[in-house]
Amino acid sequence: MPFVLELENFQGPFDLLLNLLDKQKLEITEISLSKITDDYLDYISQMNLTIEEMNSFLYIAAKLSLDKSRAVINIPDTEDEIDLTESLKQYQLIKKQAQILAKFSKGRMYSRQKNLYKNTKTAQILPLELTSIYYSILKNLELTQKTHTLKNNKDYLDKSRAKFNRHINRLKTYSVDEIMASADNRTEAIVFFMSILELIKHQKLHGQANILIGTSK
Amino acid sequence: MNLTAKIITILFYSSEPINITSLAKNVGIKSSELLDEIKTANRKLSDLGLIIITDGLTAQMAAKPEYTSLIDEFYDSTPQALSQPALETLSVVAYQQPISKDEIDEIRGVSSEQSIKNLTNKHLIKKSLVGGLEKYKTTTDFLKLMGIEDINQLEGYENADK
Repeated sequence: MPFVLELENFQGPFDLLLNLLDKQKLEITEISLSKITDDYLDYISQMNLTIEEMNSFLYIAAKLSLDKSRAVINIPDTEDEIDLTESLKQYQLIKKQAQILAKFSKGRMYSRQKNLYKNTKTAQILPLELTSIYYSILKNLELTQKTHTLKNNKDYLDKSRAKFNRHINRLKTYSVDEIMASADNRTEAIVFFMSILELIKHQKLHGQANILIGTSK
Repeated sequence: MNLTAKIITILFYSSEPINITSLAKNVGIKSSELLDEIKTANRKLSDLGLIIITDGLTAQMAAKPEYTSLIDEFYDSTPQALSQPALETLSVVAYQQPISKDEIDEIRGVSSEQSIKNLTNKHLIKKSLVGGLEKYKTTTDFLKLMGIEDINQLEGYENADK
């Protein structure tokens, strides 16, 4: 007797076959598969599948049609073909095991997390905020002042870094604006900014937007 | 320092699973002895709400499942549920490990490439060489997701067709 099966998202041909057997209350046997072959073919003709998905559905469609034809003219399967009934029984077991996993996962456990901060939105906002401050400070600095060559001026870099360290060691919390404003020139501002990014990267600073605050660890 | 305390201390410090061989070597025992020591450690940790889980190759300390809701509430975390294809693929790996991608595809009747990728990215399964072939196994993160100390505690695992 034909029946109507609503179009659903099946996980593959085995899932569809099991569903068709279930709707007809049939066991997994070759005879049952023969009975639902036409329904399977009707169903996949209505499905909106990608070429890759269609391959797996068509492969099983061909196998079903071949098995049905063989049953009529009584020719046995060849050894290298898949046994659909066995495959379906195995897949049915996997579905049950998937339900066990779903049940077990409700009792999941946690272990220590890296970089876990409670109630912080730092990651979403911080880079944008920092970039904005960085450009506003650069804009305010005199562009005509003498620039320093970072590559060959290690002493200057060390001095700028030491000044930055003195600054941040004074307080536990501070705004990036304050730190950056203490830079004497454009090069120093760059060193300060890079130092802030470096410390955040190595988790020595904890940045917090909207008002940026750092905490020495 | 006693042996159990050494094992607990090393595992407590790490947020990542620790290699069993390396851990055993560092505390001065054999790998096979370490698994027994982990059981001893777990008896001591039980009252503290902690547990050491192991997949046989690595070990990691975790909070016991009964404290999961406390962590969820405090850290406002809502874990993402696995999709049905991912759950099916994970079942195939869990109950029939070690297993190749082709074998997984054959059992499910469809390509499991995307599911395998997702599960690997979530560190629930990992690829390793078994007899020269690339095969998938579950991880300690899988054990944490299932809330079990080792894979043998998974319902139906012992009778699975591995």
